[in-house]
Amino acid sequence: MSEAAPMRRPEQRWRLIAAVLLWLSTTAWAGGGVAAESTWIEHAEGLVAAAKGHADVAQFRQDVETQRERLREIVRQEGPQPTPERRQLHVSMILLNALLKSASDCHQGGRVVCPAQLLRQLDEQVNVVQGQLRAVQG
Amino acid sequence: MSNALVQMASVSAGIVLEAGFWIVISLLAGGMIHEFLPTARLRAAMHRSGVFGVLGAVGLGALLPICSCGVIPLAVSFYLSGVRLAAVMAFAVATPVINPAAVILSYALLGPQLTLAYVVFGLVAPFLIGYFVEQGSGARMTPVAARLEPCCASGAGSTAQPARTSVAQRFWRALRWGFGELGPTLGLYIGAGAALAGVLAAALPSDWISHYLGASAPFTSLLIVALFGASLYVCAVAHIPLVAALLAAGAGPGAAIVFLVTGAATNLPEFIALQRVFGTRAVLLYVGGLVGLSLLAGTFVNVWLAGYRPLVDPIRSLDWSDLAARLTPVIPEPVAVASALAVTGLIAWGFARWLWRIPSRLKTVHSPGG
Repeated sequence: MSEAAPMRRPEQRWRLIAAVLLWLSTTAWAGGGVAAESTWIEHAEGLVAAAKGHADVAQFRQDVETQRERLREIVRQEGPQPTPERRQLHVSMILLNALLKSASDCHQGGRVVCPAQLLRQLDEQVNVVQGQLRAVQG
Repeated sequence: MSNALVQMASVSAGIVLEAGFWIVISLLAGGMIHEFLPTARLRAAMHRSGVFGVLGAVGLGALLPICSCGVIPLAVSFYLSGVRLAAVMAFAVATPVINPAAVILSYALLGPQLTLAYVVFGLVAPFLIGYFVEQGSGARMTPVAARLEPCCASGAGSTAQPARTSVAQRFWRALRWGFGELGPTLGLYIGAGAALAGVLAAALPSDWISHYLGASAPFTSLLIVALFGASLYVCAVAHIPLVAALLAAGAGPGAAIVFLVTGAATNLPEFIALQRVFGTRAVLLYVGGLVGLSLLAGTFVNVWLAGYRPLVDPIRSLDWSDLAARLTPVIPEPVAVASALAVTGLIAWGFARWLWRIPSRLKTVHSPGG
């Protein structure tokens, strides 16, 4: 018994290393997924601020389209069976993107000019997705 | 005070800017209809006494992406060309309420059940309202309609064959009637309605939509949403995301349908223009029918879809939203601004004409027979 123990030690070490590597890769992948959503939400907050600041409408429209394509990538990477929390987060992000698209349609003199109700709803939707992101992370 | 004035001006200018292109297109089409429709098959199809003419008007309206201000000149032109009132009113309601892009976006964001309710209500309500108005208002010609009617001798009003005129001459006459007669006449009412809509928008709290769509007293909230929605300028496609976000936050599905349909169907500029052309009785029946039907539909949807939350597949939702965006015409900024300026010119012209006619109206009132 006492001779067998040193013989198993290198195997155990490799197993431990493999387990740690597997754990690290899994958390890195999961963190990356949340990181992508977190970055998307940060960009969306920037767009909400731009809408409030009467940004140039042509540039704003381009940014909203780019944002929508990023969202499509995030949703596609998630695969067909996301967890209910992630699915809910993605649906809320889609609604935020649709509200930003509505904002890009209200303009006067080449500048984004949104009704107060739409701006209020944009703020509320940002709060919703931030809350859902925290729930997914937690 | 100055903030309120800025808001009023911004809302009024926003209506003219957003609807301007479609008003210009509608005036152009209206002129063509008035000049050429008597010889076209369309008139025969829409003038039938049975239900098919009205169904055709609803179908045509459901395919056109025109807002509730833009549809006014077209509806008035149809009426003055001899199309029956039920078909005209059905067309006037269906056109702004429902169009392919709005239905697809609704499916993407509101889910299949609420979209079904929206489509059924959006098609049935115009049909019924057309009949309500026709049965209740009779066939009386208002002074404004009578003034517009005899303008062009070869137009719909006349039964005689026009003298030999080239297509170019008829085209010119169509433009002259559309922009020289119909434009300033309706421009005056559209301008007055846009100004009133600005006052109303400034008077209402900015969160009224979210407040009443999510209100706990369902019937009161349906009524308020129907009345306010019918007065304000609401574009169905632009407001679907807002309604979807409010539904996800707990708003009632019945109020959402009421807001989408009454909001898109009518607004103050349309009320005023239709009242001047079709008469007060016709407009009261139109608004009463719309509000009454929307309350019925909203109550039914609240019972059918109690606790409804949109259940959408994320990737499909994005794909359907893209399709809706591709089907929504984007008017280039210079074209939108030029159209808004043209409509502003027509409003000013209509107002100047109205001022110019005050002495003759006063003379009529003070004359022994008047």
